[in-house]
Amino acid sequence: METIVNRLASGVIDGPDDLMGIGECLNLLDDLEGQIGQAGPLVGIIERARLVFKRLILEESSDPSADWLEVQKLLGSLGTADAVESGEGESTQIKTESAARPGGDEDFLEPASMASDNDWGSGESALDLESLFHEESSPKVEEMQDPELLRDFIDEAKEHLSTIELNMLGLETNPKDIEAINAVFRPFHSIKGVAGFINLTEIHHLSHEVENLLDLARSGKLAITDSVIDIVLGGTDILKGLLEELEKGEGGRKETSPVVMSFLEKVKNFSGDPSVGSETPVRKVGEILVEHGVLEDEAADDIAEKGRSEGRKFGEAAIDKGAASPREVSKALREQRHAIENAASVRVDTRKLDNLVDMVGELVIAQSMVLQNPDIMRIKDQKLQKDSVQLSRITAELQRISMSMRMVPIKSTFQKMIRLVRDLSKKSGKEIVLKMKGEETEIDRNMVEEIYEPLVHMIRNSVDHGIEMPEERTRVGKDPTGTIFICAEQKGGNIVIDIEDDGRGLDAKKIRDKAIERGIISAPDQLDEKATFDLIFHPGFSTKDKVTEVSGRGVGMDVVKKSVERLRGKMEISSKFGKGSSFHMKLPLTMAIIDGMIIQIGAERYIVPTIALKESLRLSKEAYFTVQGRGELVKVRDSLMPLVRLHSYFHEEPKFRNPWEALLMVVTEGQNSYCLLADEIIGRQEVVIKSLGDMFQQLPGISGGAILGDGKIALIIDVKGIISLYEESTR
Amino acid sequence: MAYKDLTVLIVDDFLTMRRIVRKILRDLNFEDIIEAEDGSAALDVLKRTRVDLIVSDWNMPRMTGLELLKEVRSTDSIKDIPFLMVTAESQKENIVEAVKARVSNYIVKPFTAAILEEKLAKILAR
Repeated sequence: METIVNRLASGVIDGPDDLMGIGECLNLLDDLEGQIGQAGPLVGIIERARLVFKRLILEESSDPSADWLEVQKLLGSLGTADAVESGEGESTQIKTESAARPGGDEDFLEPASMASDNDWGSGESALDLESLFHEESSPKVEEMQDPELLRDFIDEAKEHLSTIELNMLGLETNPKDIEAINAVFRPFHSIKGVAGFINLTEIHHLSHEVENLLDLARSGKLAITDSVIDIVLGGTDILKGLLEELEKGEGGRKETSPVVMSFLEKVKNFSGDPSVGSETPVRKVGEILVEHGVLEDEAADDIAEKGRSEGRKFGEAAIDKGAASPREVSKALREQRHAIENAASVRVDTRKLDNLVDMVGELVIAQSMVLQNPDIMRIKDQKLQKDSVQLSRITAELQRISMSMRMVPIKSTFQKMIRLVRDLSKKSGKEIVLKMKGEETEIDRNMVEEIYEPLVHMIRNSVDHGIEMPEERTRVGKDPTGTIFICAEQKGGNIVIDIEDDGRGLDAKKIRDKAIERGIISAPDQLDEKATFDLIFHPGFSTKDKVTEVSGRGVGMDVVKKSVERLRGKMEISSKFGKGSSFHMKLPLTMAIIDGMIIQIGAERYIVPTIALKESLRLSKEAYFTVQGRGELVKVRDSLMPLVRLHSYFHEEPKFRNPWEALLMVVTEGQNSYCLLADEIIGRQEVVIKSLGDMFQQLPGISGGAILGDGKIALIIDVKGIISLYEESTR
Repeated sequence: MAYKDLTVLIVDDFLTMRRIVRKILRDLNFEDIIEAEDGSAALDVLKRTRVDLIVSDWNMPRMTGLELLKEVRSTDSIKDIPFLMVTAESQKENIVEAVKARVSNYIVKPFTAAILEEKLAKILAR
């Protein structure tokens, strides 16, 4: 370090013009910084020296000799400051010196405030037409009117323009190809350079603007979208026209032609709204509606504002206000979606996808049936065995792909809720955090849109009626900040979305009173807690005039229930008064694949979703107990858990009745663990869930069926359902 | 040493630009001018011929001017050849990079013979 400082101080630079010397200094400063790290009095000096050096390099200094002096002083002071760092000098010394430094700016020793100065990349990235036209941008360049040079230029420029077109088309399919962007950038850059020399103002301006645009793309600040491609190709066409004019000896006017003018204007307007990032800019629904003539500009703005403040989608707000019909909105939405999907995808009717998935499912089954045919299995041909493995691999992949085509993570829907909760809590004066789990859970893409509204309703409900005001929460000993927790999980053939809050919970008595008042039930009706809670889903429970922030719990819950039921789903509530409420939204996956454990119970095979299993084990006789009033229990590593005999629910005659002979599977439901008893595990397999049809939809303990490799059907066990059956029977 | 005794290497992928630079150099009485259309062609020339000055464009396909500069500075036999980088106003900010890579000086397009002469004086004075 000392040597670096010495070298810097002893003057490696001959003068402000000595760029090589400055370069060496900059490198030494980098080395020095590398050694001392980001702290200490030296850092400020290094930063300052860099800044002054940069000014000298770029010839932007207003007083080069003053800057030169300052740099020398700075480098000299490095030695002193170095001494300070090692505790040999006075720290005030540097400060005094810096204050006395010529042309002193305030930002000395303050790296933070120099950040803007240091933003070396920002230079000319913004397009400024005004300055382009009014500023004497280039030093007086003597006319280089050499006819031969001009002809060469025209030929070369034309040649380069044709490569631009070729590369642009390549970018259309692969917008991130940096090499292609460079290959387009370079000709514009070169054409601009030459045009500057031979005073072709229009060509110079035009290629300059396109170059700037492409420079943004090069540095990743602008995504190559269709409109960027259009602009570049448009610019190329105009350039070609200008070159042809030149060829005919018509070019070289001093004024800018209207065509060029309007193009430059277009580029300017475009860059005014550059889409930073890599996504294609998506038109807003409001914009599309305005375009369709459904809305006026101002009306659209009003609705957007209103929608934002209420955390609602533009379309919803517009329909509510009566500004647009649902049909018009859905048309706009479709157009928007089309624009999004257009990027690099093909739109496919979801029914076709459904068919594909079904057919692939059939294919897998048919394949298994062929391969497991006893006659086929007797063939000992190695080639057949190899080929069938290959076939299985292909069909498995095919199945995976066709499944995934319809599935999207629920994440994006969940993330919209963050904004909603934030806005709602701000408006209501409540402090709420939103936590989420299972965002990566995949869900049918149609379902994603369908669950959005119910989700919004329920969250809104939790904010409005569940979470208390901070003061109230503090009074009852809760954290003043309330929590809403949303969680998605695939359970068997269902997607379960839980919305929990730690608010005041449901008041069963109030609900009952209100239901009686509304005439939904009559006073003598005896309802258990669950049935009472379910009353809030009754259409008559909340009346229209109460749909405000101060209404009782139950706002629009009938709507939620209806939309969930439309999806053939189920809504459940559990709540503890004073502690919070939990809404379970159970939605079917019309088709989903699950990782299942195939188990044997008596003569039949069943499938338990692997996700539901904690472990499977065999126990010794000593671990089995029968406790008066609690039924059969087993002890798994110090914890007692109820034994659930699966065969008794499915009316099977099991091979083993004794728990120490049979296989046990530990599952968890809520806070409790249970042990399921089965005969044995046959294997683990991914299975396609098939609905059992309307007739068996409500079968307790069964969530669906699957066709196994040999063509036989196995039922998929709904663990949660079995546990609640068990709990009911022991109550 | 008079300009006419110096060998200059112009590096630019754009033919017209090479012509323009050549013309300006001629105006300054340079006589021995070699052209190369990209960095690797330039390195070939430098291997074969003694060159007294390199005037290179920054923005070139395959090998950029900066890459060429780094290559020159790290090759013992040619590391001391004065290197003048030609750049555009809009790319000027990048020049700090070139300075760190020990460029002798730089010149912004478009330039005149007078400006080039001024820069050459600064370079060749050392």
